[in-house]
Amino acid sequence: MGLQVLIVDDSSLTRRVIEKTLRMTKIQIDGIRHAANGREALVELRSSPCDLVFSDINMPEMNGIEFLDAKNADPKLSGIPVVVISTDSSEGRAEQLKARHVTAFVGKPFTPEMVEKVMSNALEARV
Amino acid sequence: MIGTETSTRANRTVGISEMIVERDTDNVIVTYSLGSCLGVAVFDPVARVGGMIHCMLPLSKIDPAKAQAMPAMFVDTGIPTLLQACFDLGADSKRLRLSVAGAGSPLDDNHVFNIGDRNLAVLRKILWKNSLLIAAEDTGGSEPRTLYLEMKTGEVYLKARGDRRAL
Amino acid sequence: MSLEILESISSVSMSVLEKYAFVFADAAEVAEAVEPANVLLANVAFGGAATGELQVAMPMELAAEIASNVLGSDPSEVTPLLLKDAVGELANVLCGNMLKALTAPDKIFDLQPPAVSAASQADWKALISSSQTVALDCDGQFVLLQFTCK
Repeated sequence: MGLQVLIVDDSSLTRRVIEKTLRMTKIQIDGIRHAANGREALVELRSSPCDLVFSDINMPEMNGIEFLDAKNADPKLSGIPVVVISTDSSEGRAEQLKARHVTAFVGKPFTPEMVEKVMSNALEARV
Repeated sequence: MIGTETSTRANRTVGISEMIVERDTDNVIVTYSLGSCLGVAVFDPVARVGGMIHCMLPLSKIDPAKAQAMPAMFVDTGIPTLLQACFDLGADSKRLRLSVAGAGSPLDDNHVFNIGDRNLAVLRKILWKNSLLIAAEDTGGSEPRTLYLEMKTGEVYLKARGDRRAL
Repeated sequence: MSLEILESISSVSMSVLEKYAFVFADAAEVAEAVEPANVLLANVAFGGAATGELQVAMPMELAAEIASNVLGSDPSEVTPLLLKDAVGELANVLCGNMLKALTAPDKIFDLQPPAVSAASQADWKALISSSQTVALDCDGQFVLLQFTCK
């Protein structure tokens, strides 16, 4: 059975780019849903199952850090792995994300191969 | 840097601004001395179609006449030509394994145009548009590389400063 | 802002344009940047360890090429909304990479969502008359960048 993936980013262009990247990999994906901020992402995660989340950090309404805190505080959602893809890739930010149990952190600009690699690693770690 | 090592058994050489594509052979294809030039090896294990190209420069607009005569000289004309030749022989884009080498900054280069980086950027642009991923990459740096493709197995490896490594 | 910082802004921008948008840029003199007919202006403000903003101005034609390259699609598939989004996202990536290059690695910044609008003649003039502006030449099309950080 293929994966259910949620892409969280306020840029519709970036969501399309990440979706195209995921469809280029050999990993079987059954469904890709989009959310434009953390609040929308929480609604999506509570409405139907999800195997992996790709999330940005800087977003309006609810940013990626607030989203991670809310997700981790919810026992039904806390186990879902999150890969953060953001332009903000400083060491300080990486520490902040590590403390929130993020599976991987990819800085922009990224290559599709980088995304494929973190995705494979995230899925291996899950098994 | 032109190698004549007997251990590699290379019997088909891709020269600068050239490409080779073939099906169902036991040849070992090689291209030598990739500095800022870009070397790409492709192989479809089911159709047993494979090929290699050695591109010098990123964009053909600097000399369209030359690009017409020698499309493999430029990345923007060479890569589509290489891929099309593979598809014409029965390769499938979903099975095609792409290996990339070179695109470095040789120390004797003057670095003005960052040719190696630009060669790689044009390759990435074409692959992204065609939804193709790079399976293996050994690029950048200053060491010249020699790239091999064994048509019998699809194995790709390179030699740099005498060391052989799988790609 | 020192010459060194301006050069760093220029080289980070060239690298991001090449890796993110597959567009080749060369450093140019600001005075050479003739005003194109239609210009898009993106603005990314940031707070956190320091406050400031990045302004990026570019011709509509270049913005369309960037959008098509980033999406990996035909130019005909680029809607006006995606074009605006592409310029905003490019400014966001540029700003994040400039902060990474110019500040200490432990510093954390919060980037605001980009604001993108059509630039007026006055906007372009203000950019080219400032000594803090960096110009890049993308195959005859100019990009102007101004980064401020307090």
